[in-house]
Amino acid sequence: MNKLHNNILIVFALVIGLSACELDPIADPNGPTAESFETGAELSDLQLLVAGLESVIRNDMEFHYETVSIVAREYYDLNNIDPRYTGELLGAQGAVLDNNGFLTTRSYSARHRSIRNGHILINAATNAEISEAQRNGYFGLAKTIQAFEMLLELNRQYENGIRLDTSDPFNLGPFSSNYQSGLTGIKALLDEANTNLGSAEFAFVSTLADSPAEFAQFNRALAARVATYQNDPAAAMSALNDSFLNLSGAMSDGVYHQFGLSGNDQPNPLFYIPTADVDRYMVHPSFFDDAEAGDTRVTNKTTDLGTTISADDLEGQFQISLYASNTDPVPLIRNEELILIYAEAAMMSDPTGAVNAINVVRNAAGLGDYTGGTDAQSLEDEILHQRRYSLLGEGHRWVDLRRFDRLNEIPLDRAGDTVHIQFPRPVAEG
Amino acid sequence: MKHFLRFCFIGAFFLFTYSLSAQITVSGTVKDASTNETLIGATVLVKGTALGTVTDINGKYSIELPGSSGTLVYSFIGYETLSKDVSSSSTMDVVLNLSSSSLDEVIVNGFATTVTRRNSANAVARVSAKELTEVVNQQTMEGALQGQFAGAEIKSASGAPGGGFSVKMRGVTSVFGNQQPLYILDGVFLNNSTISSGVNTVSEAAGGGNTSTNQDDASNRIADIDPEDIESVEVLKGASAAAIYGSRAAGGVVIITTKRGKAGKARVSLSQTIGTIRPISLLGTRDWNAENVEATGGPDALAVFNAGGLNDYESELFDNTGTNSTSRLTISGGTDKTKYMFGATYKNENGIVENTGYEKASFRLNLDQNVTDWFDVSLSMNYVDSEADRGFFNNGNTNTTVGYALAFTYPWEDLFADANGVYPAGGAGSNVLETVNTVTNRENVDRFIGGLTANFNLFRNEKNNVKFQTRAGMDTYTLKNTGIFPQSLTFYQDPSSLRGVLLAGNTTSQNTNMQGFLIWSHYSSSGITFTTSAGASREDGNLDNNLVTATGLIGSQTNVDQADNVGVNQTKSSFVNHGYVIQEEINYQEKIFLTLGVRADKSTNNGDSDELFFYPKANVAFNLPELGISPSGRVSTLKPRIAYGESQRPPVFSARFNTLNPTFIGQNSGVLTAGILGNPDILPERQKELEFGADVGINNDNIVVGITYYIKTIEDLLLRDQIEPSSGFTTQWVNAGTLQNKGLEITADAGVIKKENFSWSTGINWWMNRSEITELNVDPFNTGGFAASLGQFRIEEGKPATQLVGTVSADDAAELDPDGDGFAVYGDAEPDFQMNWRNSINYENWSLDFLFHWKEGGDNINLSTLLYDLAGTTWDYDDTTLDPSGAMVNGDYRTSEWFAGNAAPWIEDASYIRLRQIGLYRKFPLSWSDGTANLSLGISATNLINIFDYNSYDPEVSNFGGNVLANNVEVTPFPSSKRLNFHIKANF
Repeated sequence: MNKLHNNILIVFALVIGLSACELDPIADPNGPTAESFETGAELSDLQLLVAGLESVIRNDMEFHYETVSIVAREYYDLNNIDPRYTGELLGAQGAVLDNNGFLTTRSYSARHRSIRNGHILINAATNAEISEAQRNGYFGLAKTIQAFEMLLELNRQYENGIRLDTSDPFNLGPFSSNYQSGLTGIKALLDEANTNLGSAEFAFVSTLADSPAEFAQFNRALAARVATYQNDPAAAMSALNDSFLNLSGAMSDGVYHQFGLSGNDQPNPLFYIPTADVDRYMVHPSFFDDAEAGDTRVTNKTTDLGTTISADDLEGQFQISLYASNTDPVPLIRNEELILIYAEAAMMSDPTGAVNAINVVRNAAGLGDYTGGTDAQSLEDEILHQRRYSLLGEGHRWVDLRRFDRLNEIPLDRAGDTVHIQFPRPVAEG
Repeated sequence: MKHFLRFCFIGAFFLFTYSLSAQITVSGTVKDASTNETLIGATVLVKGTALGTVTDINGKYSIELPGSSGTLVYSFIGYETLSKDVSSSSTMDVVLNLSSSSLDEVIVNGFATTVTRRNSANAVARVSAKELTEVVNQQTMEGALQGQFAGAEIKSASGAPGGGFSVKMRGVTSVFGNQQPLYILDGVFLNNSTISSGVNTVSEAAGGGNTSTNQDDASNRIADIDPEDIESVEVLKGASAAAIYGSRAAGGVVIITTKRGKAGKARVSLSQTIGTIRPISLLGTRDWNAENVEATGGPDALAVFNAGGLNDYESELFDNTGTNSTSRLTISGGTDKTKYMFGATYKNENGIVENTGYEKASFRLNLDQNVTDWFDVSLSMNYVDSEADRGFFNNGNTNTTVGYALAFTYPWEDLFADANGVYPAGGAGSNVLETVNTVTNRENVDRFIGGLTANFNLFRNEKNNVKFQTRAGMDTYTLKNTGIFPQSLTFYQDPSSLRGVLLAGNTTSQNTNMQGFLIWSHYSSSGITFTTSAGASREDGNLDNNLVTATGLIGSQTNVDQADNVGVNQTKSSFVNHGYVIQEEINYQEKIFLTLGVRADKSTNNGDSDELFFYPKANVAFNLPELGISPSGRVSTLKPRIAYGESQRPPVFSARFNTLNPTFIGQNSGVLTAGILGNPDILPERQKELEFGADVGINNDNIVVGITYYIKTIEDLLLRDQIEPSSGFTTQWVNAGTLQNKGLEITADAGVIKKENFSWSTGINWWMNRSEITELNVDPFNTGGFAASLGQFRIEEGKPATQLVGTVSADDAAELDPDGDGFAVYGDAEPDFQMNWRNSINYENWSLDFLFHWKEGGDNINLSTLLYDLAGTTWDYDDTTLDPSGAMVNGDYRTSEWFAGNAAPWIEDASYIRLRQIGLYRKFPLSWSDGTANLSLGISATNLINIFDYNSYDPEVSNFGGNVLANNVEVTPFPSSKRLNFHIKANF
């Protein structure tokens, strides 16, 4: 009997033993995970993260550019699909922006998603077995792009501030106390990136710039933009010197988002089809009323639909058409803005230099030289006018009028409409 | 091994033969009354003492009585108990009759053990083959289960051919998790996935307020199981009964047993069913008159109206008669050693919508072989080939689904094809007649299910029986989804459109499971039976879904190569579970029944795949009359019982990953983060269920009443928490809440008349469930549906998990939204109660069976009405039944309420009373045979009577399929149907 019992025990132990082995976790079969890049990333892995970062900054970009352009009444969304574009966003009857609505959250989340991808690249590069110069290349690229994305969202959040340190998703840093302290943080990040780029080697392909030197010029262009927002002409001028500013170059020279139509690529979301009922983004009539005669920017950037489109007591006849196709690139920053930043930085210290720069832009638009006064107020008016026409729909008008405290110049077409000064902090930020 | 064991058996018989100083010894054989087969392991007790024994491998027993006379009580699982008086040493051979009382049904009590209902401490439901398929012809197994037993809400998602059901046992058991039970067929763990067909590319249903791609009305794969093969279905409704199935039992367990051969001559059964399928109701059109025609469609429409040219497109689409046909062949038989059952079914149905239908061929071979007297093996093999043409219904954002477009199709439009078969474009955005005639949306399944059970009787004597049982199962299928939306469709003529869409989906699924159990039954001389089982189980699953989407089709080609743009999407998932089980069952002289058990589980779906989770269970039942406590002479059985158990639901497969998605820019591939932050510490949801109640048998168990109350608590609720978007993520899976279900189930069965040639048995079940979120560690949130203005579920502490809320207008806010969170509670998806009433009447060779099912309460979100109202085409638009002031017609009233900010008009009571099944049969014995051959003719109907006040085709509906909490949202579904069938069946 003992023998039998032993036999039973053996069979039983066999069954238990067969399945009692350790159960290993199953890796995600649907894609790589962020954790898989944390250690031992190869150059090819890092290339994937670079391309991912340059790609992800395109996500939901239209929610940034459309919301800030519409608040500034550069154009209206008259698609009549979502009433929030003509109600909440225009402060109709004093409406406030919903801190949990997509007008607030879509771009906010997307910009921070870009920043997260930057952190993943930085972490991967930190732990990868690569040269110091190569590492600096990844750092310079990632931090510059993070600063660009932070600046976009800070311009919407304004005095709410943004979180400057988001490297640990489980332990996020505090919000900057206001707009200016946010700019200080972004400037510091850009400077850090510029230092990295100073001793860097690109072991990857970037769609934004070909070399560390070229990328540093992009970095400095952004630094000039930040300095302008900080109202620091000297810093702006210094940054411009190291940027790709070229007073005799094309207005369109600059750094661009690339688009494509193949499988996982993205089309340009700011390309609107003139014939499509769902693309009724109509330029504000004042854009035509306020223009100088012969300004080619007016006709180049708009398309006459031949009929008045109206919705919710708002109307327009001209669709905004900055881009000719759904693969046209969209600028992150370009020479035309740098020239006008130059004019603004020189306005007080070197009015002649400022006028020269203004004339470069005017001439490019088919207009004659500037003939107005060279006092500070006249030049401010002229620079803001040129920025309005040169940078239509590129996210500047609202920010410009706000920093000169001139938001009251935004035209209101309906009784009860108001202008938002900033977007609310999303409710999910707690 | 073999010789050794044989030796042991022989040795054991001698070893346990003993003689004491007893007065008399009785011995004999126990056999089945009908088959005359010996019964092994039948219990023989001396009444009034603790003395007892069991029959041996040859059905023989020998027992000593302490006095010179006494009464022996013979009992065996599933048989009526028999008492015999003895007064001298003698041979007493007895035969036992199969019991007809529901208390003698054999039900599952563990991974490898069973118990009679009389002894069970759980309220396990059992549905027999007769109830499933012998009254009416069923399209799918879940359809056959509808309304059959207490404690479940079984609901079809639409009327589309080929199935699509949700099954909820004892309330909602998860907020985001799959609610569906685990299905086990002959020991094989089945895959019940719902695979989206990809028609979302055309409908863009996921583009709006709800990003779920579950909106394409796909069927779930349990639909493949042929109901004709099923002998019985047992339903473990919660953790108290299902704990032994561990990590996959949170939604309950459905154990399906198929028919098997019996020893004896070969039996052949041939049956043919044919019949018709009709919509259960048509809604009709708006009451058009000159005034509302002109107001809606202008002067051109009025001209058509005046000329009498209005069309009824609802009638064109749905007022059709489909046909159905089911052919079935069963051959079974066998010898003492070998038994077989072969079953083949061919089913072919046309839906009520043109170009829809369901075709299925199923073959089954079940073999049982006694290899030696200590080793037997059972094999089950099933191959299924099915094809379902589902039509194109439900939500969409492109006005192309047939249901959606129909809402916006006006009767003055002419949508009919011209002489060349060319359709005009429909004003709704698509032409419903063209879509129905042109579009293909098909599911093809090839499925093989195989199961093997081997029993080794390692050791047996009068007191002990040691058995080793091992089971292995495999379930594998390939699902092919075919979507053809040709470039010739009128809505694909615009160059900026998709210009034709082809969908080629290919899903392969493999599930395997293995288990080994050692079961030791010990019958003590004091009449106590101990059954100890211990074992281990391993379950594996792999699912690989590929979807090729081609747009910009070249001509009328249906090969995905022939297209301008081709996209591919692949989704894979897999899991491995290990479970270790030990269970002890104690039967104290048929008086007290105690079960204690625990399962330990590991799953790769958990944050830590190697962590063991423990799921205990314990239950006890008391047979009071046997214990000498009987309140009245008429009470034959009185069994209070209490049971407790735990189980879990693992987190979704991706919950622990920070998956990076592919992207492309310039010339480079890249990866970027998704919106969900992986949670490496994620835990399964844990379900704890306590149930208690009593079974009462009256008049020799002729009337059996069962009452069960349960409290089911789900802890560590898996929720998707919104996190700070500045982290770069928007949501994260967390364990953050507790959900509780409490419910009551009452069952009553009675044999009202039991005569030789006339019998009538009836049964009533009544059940209800209430849920409550008792703890919530994230902010209250809305889920399911599309938007608060269209009605949603709201998960909120202290409230039912199934409450339906919506926006509220400023005027009504004070009254309807007292807590001021911006949402008014407009309803609850949970039914107030459900009830069924079953009858079976036999008179000579006639039989009549019918089953009523009543669901009282439980609300739906009916967005079909919204769409029809917006279009101005609602059937009741011009009625004045809603506005309290009587001023506004219904259509205007509903929309004005909605425009004022109230979601109330779309949340509707979805009660119903249905005659689920009715069948009348006449059997003709065939004189040339030995009496077993017969021919049977019958007529039957499903859903013949449907009583409801719900403002659409059927209150049973779900735009989002079955797997989700919000499975009661209606958006222009495929209408439900009823069927009328004629049957002819020959047995010989």
